[in-house]
Amino acid sequence: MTNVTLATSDQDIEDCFVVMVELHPRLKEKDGSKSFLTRIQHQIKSGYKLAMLRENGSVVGCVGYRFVDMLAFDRFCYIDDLVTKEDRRSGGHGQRLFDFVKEKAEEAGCSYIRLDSGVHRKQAHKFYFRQRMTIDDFHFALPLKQKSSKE
Amino acid sequence: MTVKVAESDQDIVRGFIVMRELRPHIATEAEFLSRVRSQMAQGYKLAILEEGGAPVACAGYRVLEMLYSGRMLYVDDLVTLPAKRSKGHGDKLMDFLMEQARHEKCAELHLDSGTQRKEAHRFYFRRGMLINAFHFGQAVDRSS
Repeated sequence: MTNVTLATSDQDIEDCFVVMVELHPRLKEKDGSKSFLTRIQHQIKSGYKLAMLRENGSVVGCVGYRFVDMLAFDRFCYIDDLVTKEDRRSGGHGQRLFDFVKEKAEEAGCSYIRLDSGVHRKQAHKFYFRQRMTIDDFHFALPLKQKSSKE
Repeated sequence: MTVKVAESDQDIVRGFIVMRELRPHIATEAEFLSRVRSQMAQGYKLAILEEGGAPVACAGYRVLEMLYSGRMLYVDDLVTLPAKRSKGHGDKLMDFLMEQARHEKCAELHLDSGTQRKEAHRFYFRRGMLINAFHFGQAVDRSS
């Protein structure tokens, strides 16, 4: 039985890259695993945590999360990223990663688990509904143009 | 009309009368102040729009870095007093938030809006925002 562990060493974090890039393909454009490491370390400074699931030494799934306080909710656990390597799906890895975060959330005294899932990720939605989650909000985004000096 | 980012306890408390419209579960000024203060330690900021010396709208926001978005400005709260709506206060605050986002080198501005808040959705669409994700939630059972 494989266990979920926190990615603590640089090597751990770099090993998560091949999996994380499947969820965030944009990471590939400018980041190799080295700059991925820098980015994760930067996020860790502001409270982000990265956990991973290894099978025969290789990372097959990983989850990034953080604890947040907002006026809307008491302390909650926000899942930034949750992904299983495509060729290793349907093996219960996602479930184990989710359960791991749930346990950490309980330990940290969180009242909720919250996450955003892209509108096109229909299989992911099915998974979250199976976890007894509900869609509470729409997540709106606005890309910003940096003002040129002429404006 | 001026937008001011709250710094002193007195500034923060001025926002309570507006914020309680959006967050009615926050019962007292003292609770509001202590929650805002502890969030400020995590990077939260509270901007208050005043008109004729009285607060009419406010916004809570923070800069977040995530793998999927890069550096973004996340708007926690955005609310106008019901009696003062449809007068452009929300627009004014949104302009302010976009300015802050650019100033903070954020490429995107993000927020979550409850599925039942249909008027708010109309406002965000009018401001050029799009729904790019569903926000899922689940209460953690801590009784066991």
